Order: sequence, then C-alpha cells, then structure tokens
Amino acid sequence: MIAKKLVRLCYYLDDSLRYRQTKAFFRDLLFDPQCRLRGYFDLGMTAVVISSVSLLIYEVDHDLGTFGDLFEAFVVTLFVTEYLLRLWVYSDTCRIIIEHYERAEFLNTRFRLGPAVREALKKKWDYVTTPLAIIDLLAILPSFRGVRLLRVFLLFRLFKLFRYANSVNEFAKVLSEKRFELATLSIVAGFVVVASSTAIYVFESDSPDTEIHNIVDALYWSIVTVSTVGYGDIVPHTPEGRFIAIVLIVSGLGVISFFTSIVVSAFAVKLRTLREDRVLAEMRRISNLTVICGYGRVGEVVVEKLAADKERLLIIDKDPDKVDQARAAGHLVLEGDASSNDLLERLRIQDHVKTIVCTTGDDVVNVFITLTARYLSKGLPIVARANKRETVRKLELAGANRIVTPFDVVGRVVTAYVNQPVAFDALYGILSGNQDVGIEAVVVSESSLADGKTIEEINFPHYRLVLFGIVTPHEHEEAPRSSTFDMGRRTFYFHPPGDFLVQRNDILIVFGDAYSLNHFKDKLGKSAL
Amino acid sequence: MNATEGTTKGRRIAVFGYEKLAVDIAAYIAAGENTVLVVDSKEGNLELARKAGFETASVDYSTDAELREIGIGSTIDTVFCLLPDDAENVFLVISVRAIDPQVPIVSIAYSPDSVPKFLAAGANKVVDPYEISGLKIWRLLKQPMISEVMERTLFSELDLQVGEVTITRGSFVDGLCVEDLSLRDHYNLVLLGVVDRELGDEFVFRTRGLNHRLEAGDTLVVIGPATEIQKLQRDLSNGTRLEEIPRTREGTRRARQRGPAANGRNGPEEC
Repeated sequence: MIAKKLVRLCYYLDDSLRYRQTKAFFRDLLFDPQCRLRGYFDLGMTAVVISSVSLLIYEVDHDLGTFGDLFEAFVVTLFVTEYLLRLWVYSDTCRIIIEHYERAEFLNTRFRLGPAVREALKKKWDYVTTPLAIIDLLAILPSFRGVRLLRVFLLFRLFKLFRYANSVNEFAKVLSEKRFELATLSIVAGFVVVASSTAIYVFESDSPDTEIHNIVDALYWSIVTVSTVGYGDIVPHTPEGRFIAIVLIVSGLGVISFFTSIVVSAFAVKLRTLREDRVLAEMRRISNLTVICGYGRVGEVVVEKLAADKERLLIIDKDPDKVDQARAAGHLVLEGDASSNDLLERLRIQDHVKTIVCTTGDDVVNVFITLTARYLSKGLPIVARANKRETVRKLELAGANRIVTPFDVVGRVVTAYVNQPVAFDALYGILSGNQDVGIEAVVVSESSLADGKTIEEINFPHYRLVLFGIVTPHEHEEAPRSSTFDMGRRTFYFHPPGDFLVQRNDILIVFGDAYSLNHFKDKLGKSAL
Repeated sequence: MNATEGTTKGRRIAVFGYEKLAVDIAAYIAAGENTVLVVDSKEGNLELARKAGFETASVDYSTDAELREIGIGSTIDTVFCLLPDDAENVFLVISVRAIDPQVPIVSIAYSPDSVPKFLAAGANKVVDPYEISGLKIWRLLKQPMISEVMERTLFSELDLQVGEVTITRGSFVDGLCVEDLSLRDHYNLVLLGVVDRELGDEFVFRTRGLNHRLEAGDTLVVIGPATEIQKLQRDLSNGTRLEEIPRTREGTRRARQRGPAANGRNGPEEC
C-alpha cells in the first residue's frame, strides 16, 4: 500500500516540469562550474563563512548577545539548507524507485520497496561520505556551543571555503596526481623520523640533563629537526645524540627539497592546463569572439588591427614563444593545437565564436583547422590563408568561406611596380593603410541626409573625399553599363555620374583620410544639413 | 594589377629566389609582356623554375662578377629580391645597387624591422608580404563590402585598373589647379592623386587638399577601365583641348550652369 503510494508520487514528481526545472536549477547552481550564477553564489557563501568564523573567534573572548545568536542561527540554517539541497540533487531517488518498479512490472514479479529504497539510500550515503560533504556537515557543528571540543570544527568552516574556491580544488587535484611520489617521500621521511627518534631515545634518555623522557619526546624532536624548524627546546647532549642530529638535519634538507620539487614539477606540468581552463572560462563569458589560429607575422597584423577596433579576440598558437609574445601584448591566448577537435570543441565555437581566421604559415595545418571548425559548426565564417596556389581549392573543399593568398596580394602589388611605379604607391598606400588614406564603406540609412540626393548634391569634394563607387540594391538606368559590376544581389556602380540618385541602403565606397571619413559619416547620420 | 600602358612593354626582369612566395609572385610578374629571368643558387629551385617555363641562371649572389654576367647593370631593367631571408635580400640589394645605381629594385621584407635597412641599402620599394596579407584579412573581417568591391573591380583580370598618366606640355590639364581638375564629365575615371615633380616624387592623394598647379611632367594616378586610361593618355599627349573631347556623361547640367563657382572655391590665384 505504502509502496504503491510512493511509486505514484515518484511518477508524479518525475512528470512534473516544475519539479525537474527546480532540481536542474539547483544542480547547476551547486555543481556546474560554468553556471552563470555560480560565481555570485560562491562569493556570497564565502562572505558568510568568513563573517561567521570571525564572529565565532570574536565570541571566544566577548559576548555578542542576541545578535550573535541570530547570526549563528542564520548561518546554520543556510548551511543546513545547502547541505540538504546538495544531498537532494546528488542523485535521483524517484528515478531509482521508478526503475525498480518498472523492472518488476516487466518481469511480472512483485514490486518490493526494500531494495529500491536501499539503493536510493546507498546513493545518498555515497554523497554523505565524500570528503567535501563531511566537511559541510562538520562545519555545522560549532554552533553547538555546549560542547567545547566541537569548537575545533570551526576549522571545518574554513575548509568549507574549498568548495567555493576553484584554485584550491585545482591544487588538491595537482597534488593527488603526484600521489606516488608523495607516498614514496612520506615512506622515506617516516623511516628517517622513526629510526632517528628510536636512536635518540636510546642514546639520550640515560643522559643526566636530558629533555627526552619518553619516545614521544624523541619523535617530537625528530620531526622538529627533520623539517629544519629546530625549536631548540630539546637538544641532544651526548656525542651520539649530536651525531644523529647531524644526519637528521642533512636528510631533512633532502626531504624538504624533494617535497618542494615534487610540488613545483606537478604545477609546472599542470600550469598550462590551469591557464587554459582560466582562458576557456573567461572566453565562455564572451560572445562574438574572433579566433585567430596562428600568431605569426600575418596573425600579428590581423590581431593588431582588430584589437584597435576593439574586437574580442582569442589567439591560439602551438609555439610557447609566440604565446608569450601574444600574452605580453595583452591578448587572450591559448597554447595548443588549433587543429585538434578537442580544443575547438572545448571552446564551443558554435556558441561563442563569430569568425575563425587560420593564419598559420603551414597550409596543412590551415586546411586541418578549417575542416575541424567546419565539422563542428556549419554556419561559422572561416577565413583561411593559403600559402600556395594549390591549397586554395583544398581550402574551399574544406569549407573556408574566404581565402587570402599572400602571393596574390604581393604579386599584384609588385607587378604594378614594374609598369607603373606611381600607381604602385597609390595601391600600396590603399592596401596597407600606411598613407593615412583609408577606403571606407558608408551605408546610407533611412533618415540620412544623403537619401534621395544626387551625387552632385552630396558634393564629395567638399568633404575632401573621393567617391570610388556605389554598391546598391536598386536598379539605375542613368549609369552607363560599362562600369557596373555584379555582386550577387547588389550591383557596384563604378564612378557614377553626377545625377546618380543615392537611395537608402546604398553603400558609398569612398577614399579619404580618417578625419574626413569620420566627419562625413557623422554628417550623413544626421537627417538635415 | 595588369600592365595597362604601352610605354613600358618588354622589360627584362631578374627575380632572385624561387622558393615559397616567390614561386607564385614570379608567375604574376611574368604575366605581362615582361621577360623574367629566375636567379637562384639552389639547383632544385632552378629546376622547378625551368619546369614552369622560366629562363634561369645559377648565381652566387655574393660575387659581383656573376651578377654582372647575368645582365645586372646592362640588360636587366628591374630587380626583384624574393630570397627567403631578409639578410640575404639586403646583401643582394646592396650588391645590385653598387653595380647599377639606376635600376629599380623591389624587395620583400619578412620583418618590419628590416624595412629601413632595405631602404638604406638602396631598394626603391619594400613590400612586407605578411603585413599586406594581414591587412587584407582584417579588411575581409571588418570591411567585407570593400573587400568584395576591390576583389571584383581592381583585382579581377579585366576590369578596373590603377593607372598613371603623365601630363604633357600644352595639354588641357597643364596649368590647372588640382582642385579644379574635373575629369568626371569626360572620362569614366576617378582621380586618386598626383605625383608633383616640384614636391618630390612622392605620391599625394587628392584628398589631402593639395593646392598646387599641375605642370608638364607631373603624373596623375587614376582608377578606371584600361581603355579610358589609354584615352586620357592619348588626349594628353596629343594636346587635345577639353572642349573637343566628347562628354561621356549625361545629367551634369546643373554643375555646368553653376559654373566654376561650384567647384572653384579657391580661385586659381590661390593655387
């Protein structure tokens, strides 16, 4: 009877959207490191923990009265709630019971509540016995003021902070990866300590002015000495005892340096991943990211220009030197192989990335990155560099939207010089932007003063601009056929005549220096002169 | 950019280095009416160049005698330094400049720091391939419309070109102010700027607001269809007067009615 009711309740809860949503919300909040609210939650909890610990310390000597009690009650309630919530979302009891029930139905046997509940409880018990859950539980205890010993558990409140600080977790993870080395070290250190304390006890305990009266004193002295702390409250008086001290001090140096080197090397190995994780976490908060793969000379120029435009960038490069260089320039950098599926997947390029640019000097790598990125995201714009003519077709097949060929650009510019050295200057100036003359596309908006005016009325020379042409979605009869270029749904009219009517959504392509261009764009934005 | 003018046909060009970028650049240079001599010290590279149909020469760049032998200082009209290393290119530029003080030298610089060294060594033009490629990528990302327009007009095989036209004595632009110069009624050309002999041989964009009287020997830089550029050059060298040139554009009546006041804000005396 109870079993039936319970199963029905489980089915009801499992079906309830609100129940599942609530549970999912708390699961994300408490366990998912990428949850948006997680940061605030962690910060808030840290503040509560620190203030409660400070209050408890203050209370050792002072009396806070009702305020202290109220605050403590609040903190404990919070902790208990958090503990219960974690316990709740850790496993899905409903599912377990339902599964058991359905299995019984399927096998046509009688449903027995016992095993199902036992399994559900086992799951919960698994959680309760995890180290962090134990800390959580112990952190609640100090509020039982009657028991003085429980004050020790105040420390667990501080340990609780581990939950809210990612770097501490990382630290624990790094150390746990070096378990084997640390175990070896502790065996060696333990042997040294035990051997030396036995020896010092044997030699010193008979000496008349000895401070070592039992084996615990000897152990205490050994540990103080081997750790190179050496308080000096216990000192050996016999020559044998001093000899042991010398051996212990020397081996103590070895133990300490061994320990340091283990920790340092563990971090050196982990540092890259730690940094990567940080960059990835930072990146997930940014959308509209432009990813530049390869920070060679071309990549550097692209990054420099885009950074000047305040674009959000992420640089990926394999070479640690290049990575350092980019980091020094203040960019977000990932050290890694951009052609690896794993890296791009972890970047979640389909959600956060606006464009991928492959600028490495190696065509094989560029093709591979393009393929990987295209595989992960169908619609993502990919710009790739082809260092050889043959690669262009391969990049197209791999799915690159635009392909830039340095040899083409250079070839054109350089050839221009052979026949027309002056035109070369103009072209190079336009292409490189070194001449402070820029070329800009100005869109004619709906309320723009250029809308409905002829080119002559706009009077480009007045703005110190040269009109190169107009890209327009509209039909124009007045422009001679010879100077139009088909651009898909739009047409480019080169050097349109003076009576060419400019309409909204037209794009004016103009040459001019930066000031003139900005001034013109400003003016154009206003609805009247 | 294609060769547009007939004045400089059939140059003999030495291309040093036939590796990486240079392979495809050489193909560009050879596309005009120029003859290309590929010079390299590595037999493997020369083999490739021969397969691509180039005339080749194996030369040790550090020996002047060998450079003279292939025609530096005599038959070679332009030198391109496309070796894969900046130091080698600088040395080559110095060597060539020492032999021939006049020959135009164009070099590639792989690092921006080398550019001044190349200029000091005597190169006429230095091109940083990575910089222009990077800028091109930037433009693709930030100004896709302009990239497309440039791609479809300036960089396509047959259409618009940047061309230069030298002003001859007695032509209709001789003596005009840059600001007053209006080609738009008569030619389908956009005037980009001028090279004024009096102001040095630097190219000056028209948008700089240059108030200077054009004289014979100055050069106009224009963009437009090749035929229009040729027509302008022809009209200038024939000394044709503006009134004799048929208008290509309709509908500029208003400008004509308003007369010179419309575009002559600065009187000629101010030039």
